[in-house]
Amino acid sequence: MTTQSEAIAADLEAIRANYSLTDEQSQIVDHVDRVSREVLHPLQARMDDEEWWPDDLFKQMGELGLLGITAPEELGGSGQNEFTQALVSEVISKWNPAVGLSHGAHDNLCLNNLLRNGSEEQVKKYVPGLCSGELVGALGLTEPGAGSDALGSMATTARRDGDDYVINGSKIYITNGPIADVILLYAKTDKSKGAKGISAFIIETDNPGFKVAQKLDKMGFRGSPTGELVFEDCRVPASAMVGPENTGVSVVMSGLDLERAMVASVCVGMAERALELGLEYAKIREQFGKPIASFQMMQSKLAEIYTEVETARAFGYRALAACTGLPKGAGGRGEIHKLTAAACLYAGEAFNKAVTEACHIHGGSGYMQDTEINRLFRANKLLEIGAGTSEVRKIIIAEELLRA
Amino acid sequence: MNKQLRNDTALPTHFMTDEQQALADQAGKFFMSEFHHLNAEMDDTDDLPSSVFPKLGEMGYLGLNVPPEFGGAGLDFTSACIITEQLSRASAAIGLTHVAHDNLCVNNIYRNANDDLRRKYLPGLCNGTLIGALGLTEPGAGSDALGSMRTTAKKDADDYILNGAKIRS
Ligand SMILES: Cc1cc2nc3c(=O)[nH]c(=O)nc-3n(C[C@H](O)[C@H](O)[C@H](O)COP(=O)(O)OP(=O)(O)OC[C@H]3O[C@@H](n4cnc5c(N)ncnc54)[C@H](O)[C@@H]3O)c2cc1C
Ligand SMILES: Cc1cc2nc3c(=O)[nH]c(=O)nc-3n(C[C@H](O)[C@H](O)[C@H](O)COP(=O)(O)OP(=O)(O)OC[C@H]3O[C@@H](n4cnc5c(N)ncnc54)[C@H](O)[C@@H]3O)c2cc1C
Repeated sequence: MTTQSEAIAADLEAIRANYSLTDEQSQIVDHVDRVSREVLHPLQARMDDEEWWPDDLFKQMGELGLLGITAPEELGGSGQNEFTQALVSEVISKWNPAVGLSHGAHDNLCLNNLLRNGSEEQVKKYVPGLCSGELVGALGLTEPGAGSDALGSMATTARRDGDDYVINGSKIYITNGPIADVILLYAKTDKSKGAKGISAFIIETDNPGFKVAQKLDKMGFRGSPTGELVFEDCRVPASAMVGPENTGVSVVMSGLDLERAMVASVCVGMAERALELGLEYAKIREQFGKPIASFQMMQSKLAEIYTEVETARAFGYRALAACTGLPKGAGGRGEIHKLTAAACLYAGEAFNKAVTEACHIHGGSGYMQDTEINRLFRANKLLEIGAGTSEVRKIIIAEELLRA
Repeated sequence: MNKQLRNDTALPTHFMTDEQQALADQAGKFFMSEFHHLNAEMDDTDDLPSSVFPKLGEMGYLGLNVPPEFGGAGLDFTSACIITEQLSRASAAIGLTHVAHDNLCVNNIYRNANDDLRRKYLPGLCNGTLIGALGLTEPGAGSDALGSMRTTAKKDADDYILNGAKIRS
């Protein structure tokens, strides 16, 4: 098994070399790979069994340099671009998908969005804590009545009252919601303007108007805490607004493009792990006096899984390359919008195929909840739902194609 | 609920007889009202409520292919499948457990065991006081269950001595 992992590691080295990762990126990937394997991988079983999030894990990730990948070094971050952030997501998700999801919500959806759209004051106030893991971040967009149509159907409101805004409404399926200290929240500041009347806020969860209505019990990615959040006359100062009033839609849309590119990387990391597990099992498991890897029908599955992994990777990296250096406020339309939606659509479906086959290679043992392949299998569905469902991704691609 | 199988009930069909259709309708209603609401709890606990087997026995849904003289329902094989289909629709987990009991274990005993064994076990298996299982798969013997089987039964005078392990029964 050791030689197996070494062989795969050597392969990956070659693949990464061909994608011309910089020395710095390679070092980061190696570091993240090592700590994820040593620290995060052993947490899988209990997190999955109990929907358990280890109390100090964000602080520990901060110490290990896994947070604030795109934040400037003087604020405690690593000063890297979004491509590197995605590589980090890929590797963390490979070794512990639930941590990968929570990390992505914190580091990309909350922290990176704040960096791109927040005022200097807001960035100074929150980013250092988010980089050290003192603060845990989340992003609140989805509502019970507003999922795919998050912007159009949004019912949460922020009413101006003197120097404050008063927020009312609820948000659902919010990753890190139950443990978050700060939430990047979207609410309607002008109901008459539809999607153009949405603004972004940064909310501190010790606000008395904020409540976690429930922590949700998931099928996969268990351990990553997902919650329903309620805002009841939640009063925040006007300085909590991120960007100008009624410009939330551009924050959402450009953030979602980056999120979709990140989700593609999460899929790649998890699909790569599915391949490793399928390959290991096929070599060890013997039936009919031979390793099942010697049967052509199993070889066919391995070949197909490998092809899905590498196709998703190639496309995902291309989309990420296009995201790198994306100017503030850009995205949410045009080529980048289409490309990231397509990479995410492909990667979600590729991971579905890869993990279904890899689970099948495990026979009856893959059906047991306490196996790593089963955890990957159960996690899959979200990757075709979150950051826009497969259908929404297709709608985006088609709209952009037809606009031209 | 199964009417779509028969566009014109006056015409003969190879799908179901009227009797089988009536059986399906009755079973479907019963399983939906008695078992469907158990799904959430069973999924949470990964356990079977103790009331399920006695209820199945009382209503005559155990020993589907076993003649009444042994306590069974004396149905044909297609009728047994129709009931399995209805049960699995109401609760996939109870459907799986039922089929392991009724087909893999009970029907196998009825078809292959001698009369002593039949008389000893079938009445209890048919009224739900006994629950049956089938043990074939082993940690090292799945797809190649027969070729790779390790469990042994060693003859010792009038007895057999069993050694080995079974998994996923
Ligand atoms: C584990 C988890 C974590 C999440 N984390 C976050 C988070 O951190 N922050 C956050 O804001 N949200 C989060 N979400 C929410 C996620 O983004 C939404 O679930 C997703 O956008 C889908 O919305 P919905 O669940 O309301 O489904 P719906 O929008 O109700 O969709 C139901 C079905 O209808 C289809 N559909 C809808 N509209 C159309 C259409 N026009 N054409 C064709 N088909 C259509 C969809 O594709 C889908 O198959 C999370 C969700 C999960 C499950
Ligand atoms: C929920 C559940 C309930 C079960 N209930 C019972 C029960 O009540 N009683 C019982 O006895 N068993 C039961 N089983 C066991 C089930 O029958 C076996 O899991 C199944 O036969 C597969 O065996 P395996 O798990 O050892 O997989 P393996 O045989 O190890 O198969 C692993 C993979 O190798 C492939 N493979 C194997 N040989 C070949 C070949 N020659 N060519 C191509 N591909 C091949 C398989 O298709 C599979 O993809 C149950 C299993 C589960 C998951």
